[in-house]
Amino acid sequence: MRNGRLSRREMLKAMSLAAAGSTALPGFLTGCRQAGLSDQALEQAGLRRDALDGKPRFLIVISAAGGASIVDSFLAVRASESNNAAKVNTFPDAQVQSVAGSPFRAVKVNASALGSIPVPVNTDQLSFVQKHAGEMLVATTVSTSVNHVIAQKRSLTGNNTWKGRTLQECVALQYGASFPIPNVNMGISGYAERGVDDLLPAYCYGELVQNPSLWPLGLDGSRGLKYAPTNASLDLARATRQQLDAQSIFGRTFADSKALTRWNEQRTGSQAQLQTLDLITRLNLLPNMPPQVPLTEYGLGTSPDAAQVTQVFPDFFTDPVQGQAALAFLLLKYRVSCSVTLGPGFNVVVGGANGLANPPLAFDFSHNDHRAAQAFMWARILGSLDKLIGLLKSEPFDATQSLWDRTLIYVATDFGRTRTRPDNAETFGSGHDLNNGVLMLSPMLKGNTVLGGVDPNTALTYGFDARTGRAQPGKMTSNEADIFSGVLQTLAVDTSGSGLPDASAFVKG
Amino acid sequence: MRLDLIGLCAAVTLCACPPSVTTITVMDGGIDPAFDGGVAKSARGVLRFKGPERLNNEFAQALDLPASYVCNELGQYPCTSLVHVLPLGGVDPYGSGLYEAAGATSVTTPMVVDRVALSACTARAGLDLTDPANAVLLKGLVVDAQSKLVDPQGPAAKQVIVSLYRRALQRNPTQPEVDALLKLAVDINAKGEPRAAGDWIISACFVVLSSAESVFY
Repeated sequence: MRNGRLSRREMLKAMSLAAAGSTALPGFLTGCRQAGLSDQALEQAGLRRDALDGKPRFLIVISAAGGASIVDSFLAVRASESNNAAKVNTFPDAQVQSVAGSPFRAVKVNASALGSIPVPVNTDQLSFVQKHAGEMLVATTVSTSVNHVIAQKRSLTGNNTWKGRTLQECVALQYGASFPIPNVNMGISGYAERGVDDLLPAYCYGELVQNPSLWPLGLDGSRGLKYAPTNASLDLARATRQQLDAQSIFGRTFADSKALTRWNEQRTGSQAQLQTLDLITRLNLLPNMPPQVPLTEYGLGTSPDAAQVTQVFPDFFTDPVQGQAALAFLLLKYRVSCSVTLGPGFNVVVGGANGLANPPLAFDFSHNDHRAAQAFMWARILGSLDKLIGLLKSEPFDATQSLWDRTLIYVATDFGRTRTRPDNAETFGSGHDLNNGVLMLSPMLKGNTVLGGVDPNTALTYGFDARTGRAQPGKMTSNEADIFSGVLQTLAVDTSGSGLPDASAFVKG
Repeated sequence: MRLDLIGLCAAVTLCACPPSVTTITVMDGGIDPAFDGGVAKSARGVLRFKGPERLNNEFAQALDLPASYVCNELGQYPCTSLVHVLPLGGVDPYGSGLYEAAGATSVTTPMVVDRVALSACTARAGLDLTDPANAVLLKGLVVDAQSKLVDPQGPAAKQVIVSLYRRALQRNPTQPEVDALLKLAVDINAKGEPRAAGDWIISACFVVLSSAESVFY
């Protein structure tokens, strides 16, 4: 819609809806009308909130740092299927398992070491696929950068396809107005960067979290500090501070400063709201364990959900991904956030069954030992996902739905990996490649679906029509906007006026 | 009863303290007149948040504290270099691969600033308690048996305020600022809190240290 007029496409759509007697027509026309308003104007008018009907949807982004290869998981190629099997990344047939009634495959790997790290890698993706196939969607991708940081960010902005906003910012804009911290980001590097649309409301931008176990300590301005004044005294002090800040020469000189305006809003609005939620307790999984964690001595307590969550993620304090996943669940449960980002970092994490929880460089350890690194990291990601989904399924959203029913998990990754290998080598290194695919999980997705496909002779993926879902063998062009749009459409984010492609193929019919 | 003997530490039984009075000398001047509104607004209004290292160092300097005393969560995890680095606008290159600061305060920043400022003020008060001869803030305030300031608007209280502004903001307080913090003392006294005098000292310190003028530049 431009200047109050429907575009030709919008007019045709409206007429077809009217002819069909669709109840969607008023909503469609409202969307067209609002497309002419800026995001800030929409916010000020409360139109976004009106459209929500009080029912948010949730986005969890898993940042699979380093390049999670889709042909080492759900689109793996059997050697017998390829006429170039010895030279490209194909598996012995027995290692690639099919799942009845599903287009997905599952890879089984047994390796005696992870590159030069003497840790055995014995993984099998079959149980995950069998359990979750109905809510899995794999879409093939061609990205536009093989630089880690740039590629990571583009996996979240669709290469700046909608004003440079990240997916998380879009979801926060749509659903986050009533959430105290709509967008929490525990990812690394490019996954933690904010988008470039500076005109969004401040709450849309990601709240960065470094350590998920200690972060809740910062969710109250005074609790947990020994000998701090009473709340009554602090309330008086804050009121005095607010009065003096406004009256001071500094406050008057910089009265028009954006930074100061934001600061005052955060102090007077968000802080008070957050502190009443007692998140310093509700999100805190740490037990009282003096002398390292003397919670009681400092007047603090453990979350009432700690027993449930730590049973699922027992290594939450030492394994960042477990800690992040545990916090993600609580952030959704307590309606603190509608978008949460988490994922492995590039640092070594000691732990796990064999002494190693995370290899250096995460998926990018594939440079050293592609097959074992991919198998190890996929197992790490899928294991955490399975547990997180289990928690979300166990938590009711309302009388009829669970939290999981309204959640989409997008396993974002930097890029794919090169497909070539020395003849029949089982241990080889790989580089960065634009060609890949991504995994999404949600009851709102068109589940049990592969969008696109893979050419067994090259192990490269080919594209698809994002509207119809029809595979397009030979299509190898960038489709970052399709993925971006697919996530947002599935989450029912209002994209009118965005120019994003129709990605109906992602959405459950 | 001197303030440095009152209840910042719960273990101290206030009523058992022997009464004593310390007199202080109020500096001549030290308080500027009320702001007359004659300052031009900044046309650009460009302000930057100070960030974790700078805040920590400036709080430490203002209160004459070792930098490691300013704020430690649960008494052992440094606030500004470990726990709250990112909300305070810091970077985390080795952990999260974040090489650039966010550039804007986030929703949790005000709470973290409050924690750091409160912690620093409480630490200063605690040190003054244990070493009254070298006290920085708690100089000669007189309190009664109920731990209230005997003269919440007296010269000793004014001295504390002047000292706070000079230490934290490198300027004298204006008369309205002094009045507001003295009123805070009266109000806290009136609440009947068990540690009213100590609460006021820490609260006044908190007001100045966590003011916008203190955390932006």
